[in-house]
This record gives sequence, C-alpha cells and structure tokens, in this order.
Amino acid sequence: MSQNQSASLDFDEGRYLYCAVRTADDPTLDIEGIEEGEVRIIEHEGIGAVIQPVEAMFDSDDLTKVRRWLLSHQRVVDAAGENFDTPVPFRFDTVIKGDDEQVRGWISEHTAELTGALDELSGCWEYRVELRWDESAVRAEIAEDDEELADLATRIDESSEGTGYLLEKQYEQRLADRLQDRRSDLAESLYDRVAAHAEAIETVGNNTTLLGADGATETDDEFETVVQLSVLAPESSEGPIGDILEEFLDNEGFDVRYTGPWPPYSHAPTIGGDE
Amino acid sequence: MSSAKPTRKKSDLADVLELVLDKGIVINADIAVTVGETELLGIEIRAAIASFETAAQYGLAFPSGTDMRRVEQASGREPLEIENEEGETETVDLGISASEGGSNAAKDEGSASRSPPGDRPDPEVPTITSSGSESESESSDEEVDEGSNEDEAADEDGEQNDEEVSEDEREDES
Repeated sequence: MSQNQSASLDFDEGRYLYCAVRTADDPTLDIEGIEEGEVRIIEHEGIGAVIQPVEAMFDSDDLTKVRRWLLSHQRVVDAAGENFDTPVPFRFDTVIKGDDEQVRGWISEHTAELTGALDELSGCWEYRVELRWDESAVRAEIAEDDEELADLATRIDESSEGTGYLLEKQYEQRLADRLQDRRSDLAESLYDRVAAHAEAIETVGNNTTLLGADGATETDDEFETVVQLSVLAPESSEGPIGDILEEFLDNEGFDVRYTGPWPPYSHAPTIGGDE
Repeated sequence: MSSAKPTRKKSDLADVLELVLDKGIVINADIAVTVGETELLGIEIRAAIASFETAAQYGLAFPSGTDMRRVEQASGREPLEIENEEGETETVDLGISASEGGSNAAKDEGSASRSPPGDRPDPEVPTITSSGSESESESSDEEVDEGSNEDEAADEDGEQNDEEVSEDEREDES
C-alpha cells in the first residue's frame, strides 16, 4: 500500500467516510462533522455511507487537535448508531477521492461486502473488558499457599550465602511461574465465560493503550492487567457479562473495567483488495 | 469501577480513541485513501494518542506493541513517573525520533505530571494535563471533561461525546 502514498493524497474533492449504515430513502443525520463540517448520507441500494465533503485529509502534528478530530468522528458514528441499526465504522481519515457519485459507485461495487458486514454486526456493539488484580497480594498469597515455595524459603534461611542465592533464584522462578499460571487460568476462564455471551471475542494483546487507561482507579495502585478483551455482543448480553465480571470482583484484590457500547470498530472488515 | 454495567465515562474515551484511529473499515481501492496507508499523523502523535491515558498515568508514551506488563514488572511505575517530571523523557521513551507532534504530546503530558505526586488529589491526571494545555488551545476541552466528569457520566449512553465537548466548565474541577 505504501508505494502510492504520496500520489493517493492528491485530490480536489473527496468524501470523508464515517460509517456505513442500513438506510431507507433519503436518510439524513443532523450532526456536525469534524471541524464543524457538513455531514450527509449517500445512499445506494439500502446502504448509506455517512460522509463529509473534504478537500484534504485531516493531518496535524497537534495532539489536541487530532484527539478532537477522533472524538468528532466518534460523535458522528454515535449519532448514526442512534438513528440507524449498528453502524459499521470506517477508520479515521478514510476518504474516497471524488464526489457523491464516486461514493455511490464504490458502494455499488462492494455491496456484498458491506451488506455482509452490516448483517453480521447488526444489533451488536463492541465492549471492552479489562481484568486487573493486585499482583503483590496474589504473590503473597501464592507464597503462603505453595508448599514448594515454603520449603524453598526454609532452605534459604538455613543455607549459606551462595546456596541461598541460588535457592532464591529458584524461589523467584517458581513464584513467577505460579503467578503466570494463575494469570493464564483467570484469563482463560474470563474469556470462555464472556465468550458464551458474545458474537465474537478477542484478547487485546500487549496493547499499551488500555493498560492503566482508567483514570478512575488510583494512579499509584498496585493493580496490573490480567487480561483485556474486545467483545462483540448484543446489548442484551451486557447484563450477563456484567454478572460474570461481578463474580470476579467478589474476589478481593480484583478490579474490572467494562466499557461500551462502542461501535464495532475492531470487527469492521477490510473491503477491497487482497489485504 | 466495580460496576456490572458497561460504562462510557470520560475516562473510558481512551479506549475509543484508539479504536477510531486503528480500527474500523479499511478500504483497499485506488479511489480511496486511509490514514493508515499514509504518512499522515506521524508515528509519534499516533503513539501519543493511542497511549494518551497511559502516558498521563505513566508520564510517557510507549510505542504501540510495547509489552507493558514487562515494562511494568521491570520498572514499576514510580521510576517512570519520576522520569516524567523532568518533562523531557517522553520522546526518548517513544523509541523514535522526536518531532513536532511528539513534542507537543510530550508537552501536554509533561505538564500533567509535572505537578509533584504528592499534590495529586486524585488520579485524574488527564484533567490536569488538559488544564495545562488549556491556555494554549481551546480545543482541549475534551480531555478536561474526559478526566473529570466520569461519575456523572457513568450511567449514560450515547450522549457522552456530546457532553465532553460542551461542558467546558469542568476544567476547573481539579
């Protein structure tokens, strides 16, 4: 994709895409777009593209400005979600070069893919679940309960400095292994139980964004992420998933973040091409 | 946070900012252009956005893909916060060269955590962050609200993003 980057940026007229929705005749959406831009819906064969006429891509080195754009994008998609069935959102700064007819043509070419996505995601929203725990407390608990660790601790106390050092290494390794075991078990358990209520679910791996993303918990707490999930589910699953999370919360030293409903960004398809 | 109901609080917006930036329908077509395929929004600013809340909390931004658990385990949070108080470590820790965007990001976040840890009345670092940048730009209202308005927004759906833009007055809360 990268070889035609610069060329692809040249356009006099374009249509910034917010989301695709199921629409009837002459749909409208009363909301301002990015930078107070005009938002319209271009409809073709029952599929509406929520768009904003643009003459350039949105680009800035100003973090604040970009964040505002992202929030504006989300606001428009939210508005579409309130007026229509689940919108299938486009990635930020996706523009079709050309006029309304070009957009119609694109919809026409990809009706099957768009219909598939709209049907698949219909009635579903994206939820984010993050399970966190007080890892130091879990460590202490494991150290207390594990016989082998207790045995190692005793031997460390009784041994010479050199042997003690090696035993301490063993101790730390076993503790780390046990901690990882418990983390994996919990993550698997949460995943499986939530999956029973989800249309789709995936672990959000090694993602910087969500870790500690909550301003609601103490900044300096000792909680660490056990697992983060992106869940596609109907609103009717909100309660059952919440109940599962409550059970995890009943254990002392656990915390849960449960956010949504968001438009199903993570479950939106790639349309066109082989990639 | 111990709610069985999903929330769309201001503090949750970090989730969706990342989604808007990195997820959603991607079009592969000659007639279309997507930010992901271009050099728009440099990697620094993307990292800064994607990790905004984290950055506010940790005092720096990590590149996407960083194994935060390992980072945490290796370093703990305290040293990271201390680093940030110097206000200059963010771009270094991005692991990429500094740029205008990265510098802006660093400035915002740096100003957030420049206040000594002891002065923090609550974890609403983003609030402080945006207050810091408020003087530079009107446009940081979102961040202000996002951090400070979470409780009253907790039970509402749909309206959140409108609110956060409109409730400017909350910036003084912290």
